[in-house]
Amino acid sequence: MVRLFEYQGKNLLRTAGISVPEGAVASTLDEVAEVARKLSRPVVIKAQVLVTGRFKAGGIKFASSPEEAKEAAKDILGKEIKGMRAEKVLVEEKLDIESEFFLSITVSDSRKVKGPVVLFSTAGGIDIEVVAEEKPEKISIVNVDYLRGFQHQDAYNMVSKLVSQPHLIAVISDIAYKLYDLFVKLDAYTVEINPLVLTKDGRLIAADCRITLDDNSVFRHPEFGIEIPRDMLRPPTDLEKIAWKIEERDYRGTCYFVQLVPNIEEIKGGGYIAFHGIGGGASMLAADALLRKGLKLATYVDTSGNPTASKVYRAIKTMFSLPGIEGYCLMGAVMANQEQWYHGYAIVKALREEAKYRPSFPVLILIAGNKEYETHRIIMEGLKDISLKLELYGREHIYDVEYLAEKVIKLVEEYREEKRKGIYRVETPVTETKIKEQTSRVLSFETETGKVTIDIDKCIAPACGFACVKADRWYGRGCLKIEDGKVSLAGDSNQLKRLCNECLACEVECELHGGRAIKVELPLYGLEEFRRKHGVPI
Amino acid sequence: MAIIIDEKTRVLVQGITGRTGEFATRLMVEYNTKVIAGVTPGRGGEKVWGVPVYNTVKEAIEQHGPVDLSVTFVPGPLVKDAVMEALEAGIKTIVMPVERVPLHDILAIIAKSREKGARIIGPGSLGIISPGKALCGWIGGAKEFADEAFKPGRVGVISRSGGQTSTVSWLVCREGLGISTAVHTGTEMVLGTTAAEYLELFEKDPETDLVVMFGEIGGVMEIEVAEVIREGKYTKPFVIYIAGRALPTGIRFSHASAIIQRRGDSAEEKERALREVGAYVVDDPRELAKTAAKILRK
Repeated sequence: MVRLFEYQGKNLLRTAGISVPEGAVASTLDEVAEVARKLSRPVVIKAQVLVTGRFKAGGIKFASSPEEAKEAAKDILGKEIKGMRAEKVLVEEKLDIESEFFLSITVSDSRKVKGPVVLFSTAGGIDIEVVAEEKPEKISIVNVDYLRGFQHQDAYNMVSKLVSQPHLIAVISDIAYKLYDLFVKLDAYTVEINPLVLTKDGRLIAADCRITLDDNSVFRHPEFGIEIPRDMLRPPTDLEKIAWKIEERDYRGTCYFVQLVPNIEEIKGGGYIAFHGIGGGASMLAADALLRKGLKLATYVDTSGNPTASKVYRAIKTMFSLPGIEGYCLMGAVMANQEQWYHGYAIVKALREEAKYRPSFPVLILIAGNKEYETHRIIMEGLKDISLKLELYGREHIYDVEYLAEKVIKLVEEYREEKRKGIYRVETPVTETKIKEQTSRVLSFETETGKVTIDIDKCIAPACGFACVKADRWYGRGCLKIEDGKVSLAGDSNQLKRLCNECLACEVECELHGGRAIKVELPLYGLEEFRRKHGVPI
Repeated sequence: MAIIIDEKTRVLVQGITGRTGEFATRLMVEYNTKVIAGVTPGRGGEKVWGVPVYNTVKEAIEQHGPVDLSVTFVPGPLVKDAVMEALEAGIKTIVMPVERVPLHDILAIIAKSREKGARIIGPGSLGIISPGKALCGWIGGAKEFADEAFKPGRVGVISRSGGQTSTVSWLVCREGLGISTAVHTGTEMVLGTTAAEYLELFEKDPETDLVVMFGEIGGVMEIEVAEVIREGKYTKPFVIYIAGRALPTGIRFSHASAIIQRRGDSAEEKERALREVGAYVVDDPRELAKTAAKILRK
């Protein structure tokens, strides 16, 4: 879920016709004083961070003059509140509270509900779960039929169970009705007002709110400018932003990327490995075991749902962009249903590129399931002439994650020891000669997320036995063919774009058979720049 | 018997001409699933692995007669229309293998399925297999692998992870047992059919003696399983492993449903609730199959 800041939520409530306290958001101390001056009454200063329990953590303070407000904001602005930096504060009128209510709409995954739930309580301002346990009579709940919606009458019935004054019933049910409307418009997971305050002068005001949006719907809401729709209690890292671009428009399988250690300096400190799992269950299970064994994981990455090789390749390249990692571990602790050879080719292409600058780098791979043996062959063949500490495991070790964790620890220790002794001379990065621009001797076509180029001058067919065409028949979808004893394209650019599944097999097999003619160019969405910035060879 | 799908189930494939649709259709056809037709708007008249393609669900039914189950290989943002079309056409079981379906689309789909008395499997479900009879979705991945991981037998398998559905089943088969039906619940926050509901179906299936489940942190699914056991709606032995115990809270790990955020959804709390009702809770996934074997050989 994507969490919105309180001030964003309140702006949305206001446009939905629900009253919020007067005030404004401020990023500097002068702005704080300015807002307080305009309000010219006692104010509350609230840290804009995505955590609950701000008051106890010192993220909410009161002030009765602009000077006091400025002073109070000093302790909040730029400070960490429960681990999140408060870049902004919300400065609002302090409300004179008569009573407090709770109003929320959320989605229940319970077998009995599987839909929106509207919850109203006359015990606002405190944790609703405590109310539910201690004073259930103060809660009124409506399960909504999504197709029918939440009607005025439903809101009225819900509120009137707990409130007796007719005027109050009318106003609160109107707010509930508007809130539901907002919930639908936002594709929200939760919209919550707590507390909904009745002031001494009889106004009903949303004093605080919490809105979370659905990850899978953010594409419908460009207005929020959400960089990554992921559940995290911290801002996304640069690398996570890049990784999201792999996923954003490419629905072929999934790539889930979390940088478990946001601080790159900490990773550079040593001993961290890049963790990569296949499938949610396997990744959780394996990460769990590795952490318990004391391994330091820099990343939690999961590529599954039958992804293309290009997606997996990009995921690996992203992990290897982290400066200072000292190992790569692909734990496919799963009898995967997807054809694993796409992971195989992605691994081969990525590691052939990365190993150049990391001789003897520790790599442990567990990959099992559908097309397991073929995949192992692809990996062993593809990496046989490459300097790596490579260990490859299959189904017989499917859940032996602890055993494999020990192997990883050993490999990483060896590598660190060797690095310390300076055994390996690291090649200086050389920029590869670019494939020349389009001539009659170069065949090329666009793929869904990249471009395939075949330099006929470098093509050694038939000496290679038409390795690329064979690979394409087997792993691809027939983009290449043999014509007059030469490699050629099997369709026009539109057909090829639709056909190509970015399996990367043609490029890898060409190289393994002694050629250098094929290049599958896959844009990496800013990784080059990231690597340059952090001194990681490209 | 088995649950939800068997050799008589008449299957329709929506989105049959896409990359994954085509891949899965080949698998289903090879497994002898009764795939009677496919649908992709604008591609009517084509054939995919011998299966005729139509422009609409209605057209496919008019040509081939009633459909029991439709499996939808349509990208997440677009899948709602496809499922609604299938529900309107009267299909009573819809399997949704795609992930990244917008939440409110899921809510609309589930509400519609209630109105129509239909069952939704997923979204994000790899599929369902009754070994030796039929499979739908892309569970198994290839005939030879499906045959290896899923042998016919009397153990039901429920998994919150797609890949683990096959892994657990494979391990069960290695213990010399077999599978009645294995199903992947799906990975989204809200699912059409929950683990507790599958358990109730397994209870009624005379060919299932025991159920094993691969559970996860987050959500209420395992707690509800404990509820149906306590209520006596499921009385056969039940073995479960819950993944993600050492993971930090508040971060989503792959599956939308696997975020720990509420009371009662950590591994420890779930395990306690399940132990209380007499479920066999194992703390190593390797023990799932071994425990099942021990129980059945008693």
